[in-house]
Amino acid sequence: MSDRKGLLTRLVARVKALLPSDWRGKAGQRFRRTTSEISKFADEHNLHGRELADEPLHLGE
Amino acid sequence: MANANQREIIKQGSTQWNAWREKNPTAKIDFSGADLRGTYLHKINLHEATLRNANFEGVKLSSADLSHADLRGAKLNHADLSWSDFSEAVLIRAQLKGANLGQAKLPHARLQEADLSDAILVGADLSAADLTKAKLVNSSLVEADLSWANLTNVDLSGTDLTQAKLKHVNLNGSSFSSRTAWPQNFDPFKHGAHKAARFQKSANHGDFSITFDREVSPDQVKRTLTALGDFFRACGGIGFEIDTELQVLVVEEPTHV
Repeated sequence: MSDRKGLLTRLVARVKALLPSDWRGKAGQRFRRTTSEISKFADEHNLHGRELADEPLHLGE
Repeated sequence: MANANQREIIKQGSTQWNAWREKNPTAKIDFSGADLRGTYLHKINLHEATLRNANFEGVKLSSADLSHADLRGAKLNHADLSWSDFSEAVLIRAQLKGANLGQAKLPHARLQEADLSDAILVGADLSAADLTKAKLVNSSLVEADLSWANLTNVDLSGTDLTQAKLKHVNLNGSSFSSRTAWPQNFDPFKHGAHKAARFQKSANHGDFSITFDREVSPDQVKRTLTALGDFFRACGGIGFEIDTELQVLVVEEPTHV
């Protein structure tokens, strides 16, 4: 592996449910199931972060 | 499909096969769908053979002549293919997980959607090969020749490209991770590659983090987080609390200036 070192800038967003019970309950289950399926679909269809970020997002509708 | 006679001969090994082929130079070779696991095919002559969906898993196929062969969908996981000649071979959707392709010749080979995860390609010649949508996760391409190769939409997470030749390589839409090793002074961003956002979660504590790389614009970050919040509310949750932090990390990869 290369031993060259460089600087990488990135933004980390820490996301937390306001109510832990929401996360453990049906809302959290539904959210996790759907986001997992989206990730699986993106993997299977070789979709990358930049492509997804450019698409309009209407998950809440 | 190969006739029973050809199957019988190839199962005896490469010496008997090559002798038969020398006597029958115009015979059409077709082992499509054949199960050839457990055979010893070192130095075998399968030039121009049709080997679609054939199963060679774990087979010793080193120093073999597979130039111009049709290996579409072939199963070659963990096979020893070192020093073999795949010049202009068709390996579309071939399964090559963990295969040893060290010093193999693959110029102009067609490897679209092939799975080369964990494969050894040290010193391999992949010049002008088409690897569109191939998987090269954790594969070793140390000193490999990828000049003029097409690596559009390739997953290069953890791939070792130390001292690889990447002259005129096309990396459009390809993604890589911080464990991907590039040759010195090579800038993957200039060749079209990017880093995908990473999503990490700790499922039981109601929190997770999303890492956005520098190519993602502030507007894209805002829209992604807003959509996630909207969706969580649509699922029945009250909402999310979001903290953001800009991180500057020292990473083991070339400096991009």
